[in-house]
Amino acid sequence: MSVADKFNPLTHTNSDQYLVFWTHLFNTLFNGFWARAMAVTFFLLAIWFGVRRQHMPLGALFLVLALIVAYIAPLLRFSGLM
Amino acid sequence: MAKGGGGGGGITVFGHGLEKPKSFLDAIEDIEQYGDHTKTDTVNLVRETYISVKRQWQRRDADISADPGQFKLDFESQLRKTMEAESDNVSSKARLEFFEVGFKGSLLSGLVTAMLTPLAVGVIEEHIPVFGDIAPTPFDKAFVFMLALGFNIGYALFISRVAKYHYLGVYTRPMVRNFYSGVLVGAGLKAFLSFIFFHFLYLKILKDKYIIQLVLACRSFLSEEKAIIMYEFIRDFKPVFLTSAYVVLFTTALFVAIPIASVIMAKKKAMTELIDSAQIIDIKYS
Repeated sequence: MSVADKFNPLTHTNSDQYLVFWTHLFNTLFNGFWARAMAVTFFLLAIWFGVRRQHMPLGALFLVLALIVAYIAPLLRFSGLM
Repeated sequence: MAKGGGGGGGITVFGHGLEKPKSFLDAIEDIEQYGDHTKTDTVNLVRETYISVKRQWQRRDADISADPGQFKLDFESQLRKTMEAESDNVSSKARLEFFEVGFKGSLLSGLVTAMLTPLAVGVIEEHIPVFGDIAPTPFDKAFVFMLALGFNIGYALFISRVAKYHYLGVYTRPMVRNFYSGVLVGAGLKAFLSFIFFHFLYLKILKDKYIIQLVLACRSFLSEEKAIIMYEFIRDFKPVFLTSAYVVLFTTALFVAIPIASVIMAKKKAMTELIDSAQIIDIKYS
């Protein structure tokens, strides 16, 4: 087994199980409770860094992350990843 | 960071050889620094105006204690004129720079909010799922609006702070006024552009024939079922842009009202602090 093969996930599992792993992960992270918890955390961090600490780029980054967590589920569902 | 400053009396000329504020944070920092450095000038000006008005009343043999309300009005009128005259020391260049910074910051942040508004309205009207659910809970509805408006409201609260504390400063007053004028003009332009753009999208761009053309263009990598879903989604989502156009007008009004309300509410308190600092006993703000 070469070095590159060690980094290839399909060396360690088959492609169906690999896809199931990601689908399960997306379903857990971007549906229901965990999605809401992450989105609220990112939003509060955006306010903390953007308004309180006056670090606008970091605030904007966390705001974008909150948006992604809130709205990405239908895109993943549409592309068959959820 | 801007250079220059003054305190303890005398006229200080601003706006020449200063570094131009690059962002609204720079502008707010400049205003706060000038406000702190020139607070003594403002207090001295208030005291000198009070003495001048008191002498005018004494020359007329008028009794302040008999008509304190009129004395207060005379004092405020004279103070306003004196501050306007003193604030001519802030150059036109500096005023324009503060206006420009307020305008740019307000326009850019407002456009970001305006683009996020259709997402929030789409969630409320159950066209866009949020957190994976098509039926949003009350928490979800509140959260998506906070996401869309939070940045703008935070910005308004942030700039209202500087208006609150430095609006009455003799040199910071024109800075705050010009900065805030830029913010208002930027917000108004943003509201106008967003209103026109959303109506343009609804009336001209998202016609059925163009939606069909777009879906057909995507047909090479979409199945028939997904192409139909895409077409129905865009067609049903269209009216959200009309709603969003009016929501943006409402949120812009809110964005503009926050600093104005802050100044109105804080003006009395700020004036009280100035009066106390100048040790004036004949005028009370309660």
